Amino acid sequence: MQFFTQLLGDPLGFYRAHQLLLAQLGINALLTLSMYITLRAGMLTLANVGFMAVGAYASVLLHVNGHVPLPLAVLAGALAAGVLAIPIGIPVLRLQGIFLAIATIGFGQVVVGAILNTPVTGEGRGLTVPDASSSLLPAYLSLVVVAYVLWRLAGTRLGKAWDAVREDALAAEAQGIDVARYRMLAFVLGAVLAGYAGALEAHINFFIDTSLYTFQRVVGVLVFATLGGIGRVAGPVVGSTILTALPEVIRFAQSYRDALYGVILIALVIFRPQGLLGGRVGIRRVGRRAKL
Amino acid sequence: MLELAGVTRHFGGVKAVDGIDLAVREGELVGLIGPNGSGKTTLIDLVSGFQHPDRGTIAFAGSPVAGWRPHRLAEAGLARTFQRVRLFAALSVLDNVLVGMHGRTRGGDLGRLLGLRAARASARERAGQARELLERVGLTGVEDRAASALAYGQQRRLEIARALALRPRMLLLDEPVAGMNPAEVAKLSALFRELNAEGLTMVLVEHHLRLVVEVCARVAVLNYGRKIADGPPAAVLEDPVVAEAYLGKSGASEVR
Repeated sequence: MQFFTQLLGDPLGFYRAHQLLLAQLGINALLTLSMYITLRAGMLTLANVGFMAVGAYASVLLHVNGHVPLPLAVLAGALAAGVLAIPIGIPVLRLQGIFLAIATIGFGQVVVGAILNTPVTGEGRGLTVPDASSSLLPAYLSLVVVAYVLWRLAGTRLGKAWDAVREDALAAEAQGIDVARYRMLAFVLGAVLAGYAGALEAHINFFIDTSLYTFQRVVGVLVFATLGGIGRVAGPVVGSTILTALPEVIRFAQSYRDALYGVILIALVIFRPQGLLGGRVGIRRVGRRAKL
Repeated sequence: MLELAGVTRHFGGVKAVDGIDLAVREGELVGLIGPNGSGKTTLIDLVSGFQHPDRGTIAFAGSPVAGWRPHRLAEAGLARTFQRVRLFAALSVLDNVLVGMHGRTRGGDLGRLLGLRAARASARERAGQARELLERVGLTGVEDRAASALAYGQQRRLEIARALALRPRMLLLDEPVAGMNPAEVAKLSALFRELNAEGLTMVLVEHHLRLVVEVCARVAVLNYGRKIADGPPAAVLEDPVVAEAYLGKSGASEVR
């Protein structure tokens, strides 16, 4: 309750007290949009936290050890995730539905394993970011740009091709859509955005370690996207905002978060697969394999 | 336009398509008939790149295309419909047709993202073409509905409009009138003749023999993966080998 009274009564005090949370809202929204891209293209991939870790570690190492200016280091982190997505995507995108999900979970685990066993990434000790800043501008500016581009994209040839691939990949092929290429494009763009969100997050948090990139977190992102719905770009943003703020508003929700997410996900899939914001696109279609 | 020589496709021990030679000339409308399981759909899948032949060659518009993926054949001008309707269910009727244009349009996305006037104009033009196609197959006033909300017969017609959106040089129709009522069949029959008269080369796989006789100048008959007859419909349907394929040996003699 105090959360809302302060928000309305003392906005500046609220901002100071919750700056990190506000930055996290923006970053989680970006992360959820990275999953929105692959879900729109009909792929249930859970590699997002893996790419996030790649973006975070690459940008921190470039910035702290390599003295690359911060904005460039963040962009390079995003790019690194995108480049890595290509060799991962070639074998993995041959899979569909739940099998694709499992393979991409595996990728996230491999990334964490690699970080834990490589001296330069600090192994289990993590990396510190001495000149981190909790400025909200980068996250929110990026969010506005990314959301706008994705919103406009829905009406373009590319957006429609992704829709077609999701709805019926074989029929899409028959209409001249190179399904493998469009899947790969969505996977790589999703990885770039996840890597970007990871790099931004690293630079507001002063410290990163592998506890940020867990399986629970990627499931959380899937729940964000599903709650808001993937029929509209606003869906993932609304979903991630509600569920990121929830533990702050209702303290006890923090201890039961994973259980709560599980219940929310099951309830959504059964009762409202199109999410809170609706639209014609439901989450059910995505987990399914193409049938002949 | 289309030339098959010795095309063979086996599934384990099943010879689904077994050494078929078939040539379709430009502007022809060829019927492809045969009992269930005779290999008609497999043949369509082979021609459209959804399956690849174990042996034999396929040439489309002069190029050897065996091994091409379907999207490449679509870009080359080969469109098809499916025996079991495969629409983009959640997309609007209009968007289904617009997606159908994918293989013959290029770029313009950056312009759309930036909201350029030229991009908007070309999008409007494409939407206009899509509406014309919908009108052509008799689907007016439903363009904003989800494709899944259409009645079955309308869905089949939408699939045809989507295939035509490619502006194909050749159209493969896999049982387009299955499950339709006689009035709908008559309308499609007229549409097929019209499209053919405009020069579109077509192959029509159909069990509806009256339709085949009505619209096709030439009919090929498959049985157990082999071509057993090929010629004008009247002659082919008189052929005792064809009667035997459909009705069996003793059945064929009873009919005669």
